[in-house]
Amino acid sequence: MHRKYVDIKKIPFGIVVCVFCTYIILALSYVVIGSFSKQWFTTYFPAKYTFEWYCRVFKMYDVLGGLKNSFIIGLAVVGISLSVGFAGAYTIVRKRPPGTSVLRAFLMFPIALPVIAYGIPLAALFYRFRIAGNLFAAILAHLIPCLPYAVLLLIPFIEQIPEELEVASLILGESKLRTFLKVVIPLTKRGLLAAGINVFLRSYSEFVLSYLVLAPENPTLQMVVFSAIAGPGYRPMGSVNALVVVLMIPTFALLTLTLMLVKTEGLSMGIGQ
Amino acid sequence: MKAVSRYIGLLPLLGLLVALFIYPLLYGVLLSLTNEGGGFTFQNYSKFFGNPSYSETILVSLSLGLTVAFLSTALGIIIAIAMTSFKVKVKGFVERLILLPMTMGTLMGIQGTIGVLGDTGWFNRFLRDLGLREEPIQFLYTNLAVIILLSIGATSFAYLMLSGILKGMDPNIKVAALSLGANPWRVFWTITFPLIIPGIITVFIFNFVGAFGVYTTALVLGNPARPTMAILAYDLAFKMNDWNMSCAVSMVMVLVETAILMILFYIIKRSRFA
Repeated sequence: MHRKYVDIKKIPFGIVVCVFCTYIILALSYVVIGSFSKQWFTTYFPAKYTFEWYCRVFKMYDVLGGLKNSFIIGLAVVGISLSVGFAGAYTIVRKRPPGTSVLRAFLMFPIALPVIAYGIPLAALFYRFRIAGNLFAAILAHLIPCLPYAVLLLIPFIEQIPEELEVASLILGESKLRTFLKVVIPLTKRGLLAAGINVFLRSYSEFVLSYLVLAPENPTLQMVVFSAIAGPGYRPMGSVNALVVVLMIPTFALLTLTLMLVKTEGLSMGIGQ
Repeated sequence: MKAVSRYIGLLPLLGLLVALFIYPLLYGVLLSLTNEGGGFTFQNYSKFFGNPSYSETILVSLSLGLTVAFLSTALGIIIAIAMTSFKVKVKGFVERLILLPMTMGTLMGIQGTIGVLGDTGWFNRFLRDLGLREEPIQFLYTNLAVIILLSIGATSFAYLMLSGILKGMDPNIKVAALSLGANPWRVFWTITFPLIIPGIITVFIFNFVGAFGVYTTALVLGNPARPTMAILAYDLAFKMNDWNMSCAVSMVMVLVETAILMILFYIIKRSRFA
């Protein structure tokens, strides 16, 4: 009797979880099934399946150009964010300069403010200085949310390195530079990799900032997909779905990589304890 | 000299943030307070608040932000409790699935929503085949579609934060309360809820902020007659070429969001959970 009573109370929870998961499965399935559909009008599933959209999508849209731009911007943003962010995060953790707590709160602002709110004045500046339209402008724009994000991601990793290891290396006569290269960097390698992947994904999926400062003729992949979904004119649904799947491939590949990293995390971090 | 060396590692970071974030924001303030000739004026702000088709966007963005924040926080709590305290079959898979929307990306979500909730989408087709409705329910191009899609991603984030806290809770506390005769509802309100309050506040703030400034999702799926502030700001700058007015809208966005966050922080401070 008692068991049944408890089960009834669980039902609303179960319904919420099921509805939520069903929506996600349906949304994902629609895009994937749609990308293989040949004729899909009034039925639940397409009448015929085909692979042709994946061949045609590269001719119909500037996929390779967009992918190239997205990767150039993403890699540049990762390089700058990690080097500048690491210097900042290391200083915050080790030197603890006065005002650190204010700085940490300030780092939340570029992440929390609506992109449009600072993106519009930024675009106005870029148009005035005539750097809008080239990839350099997009790299600078992406740095605004990515740089604080990198610092916030790196801080816990640096906090985990025991300071004694650095002190020991200095006492044993190593220079500050060699201590940094031989002790600090190897101990934060995984943190740098994890932060790098996250920053890259953030830049790769950033649409509005690129849209504000880049020209439509030289788009990132996100901009290519956006104009396929929302731009004027008719495009076959199958091709748009295939394009969205192509857009997701790098994201899923990198996410899988992050999951593998997290699983082995415990091993490398064991040194710290 | 010693003081300088303590800050030196921060210089590149602060330099870039001042140049790319503070300076443009101040430039935006300046632009919003000038007319096309460059003279000082308040006309952009008076035009914004005087014209209902402009000032109404505040209500659209605010209601979107608050609805999504409430909905996703509530759903996040329910799903996190279900996943941590009940036995769930294929738990690992379900958890992956719940976390997926956070990383799925805006455009993937939009395209999926068109397929599921569109006039000829799976949901409407299903209702028609059940004989429940002849006419499809109009989801797309209403702000309901925007709320649904934004809440999915926001719930995913809420789940990530709250399940982390719930997993770290000592299960013995709950067992003790239950064995002393408290019913599950009372255990939730007196033990679980106070413990996850900081997480709930973080989630609420982040999800409010995300939905308040929404551009892409609202542009593609939302009601074109009821644009958000972000859409208005974009259109003013890039379609009507009125950058001064557009900057004024951006600054109002910053102010409204700051005001809401201050109110939230004030409530937190005043409440017993501080």
